[in-house]
Amino acid sequence: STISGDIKTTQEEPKIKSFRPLSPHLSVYQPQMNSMLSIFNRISGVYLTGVTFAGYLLYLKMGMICLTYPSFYQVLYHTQQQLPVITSVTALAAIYHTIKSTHSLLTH
Amino acid sequence: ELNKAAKFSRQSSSRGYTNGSFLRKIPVVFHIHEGMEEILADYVHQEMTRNLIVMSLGLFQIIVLKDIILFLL
Repeated sequence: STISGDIKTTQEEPKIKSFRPLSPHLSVYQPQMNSMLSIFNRISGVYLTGVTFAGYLLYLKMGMICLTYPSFYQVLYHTQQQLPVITSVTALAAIYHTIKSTHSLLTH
Repeated sequence: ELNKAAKFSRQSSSRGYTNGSFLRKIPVVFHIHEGMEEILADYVHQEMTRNLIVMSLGLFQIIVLKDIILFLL
């Protein structure tokens, strides 16, 4: 019985490891102002990074390679259609990231 | 004289117009690298994987910088 128990525990270990919670344990704590502002600062930074690199790839890199492919034209067309939304969200994220970073620089 | 002054008032480039304002945004890439390194330190616990991602990101950013500088020339 001990051997089978050992086998069971060894089999269950990777399952437990794969469901480890991520570091800001949002489900454990109640949402607080400071932590939420910090998390959104990080999210806005990652979003701005994504927009920067996606814009670089789309406008500086892909155009030279892919303008002969119709599917690339479709992607470019749909991106251009969503451009006002993307630009607005990017502007909001940039303003938020700047203000929060300046605030945390001044306070810490 | 006026034409000459107008010609030299703008930076000349291969496309006839300037994108010199991009030069001021190059340090943004270094800021992105710092921020991504911090985020990866928080979420990627395997040291080897983290180093691999950081180095790949650094290489990608070197390529981005190269392309931006070439675009400006």
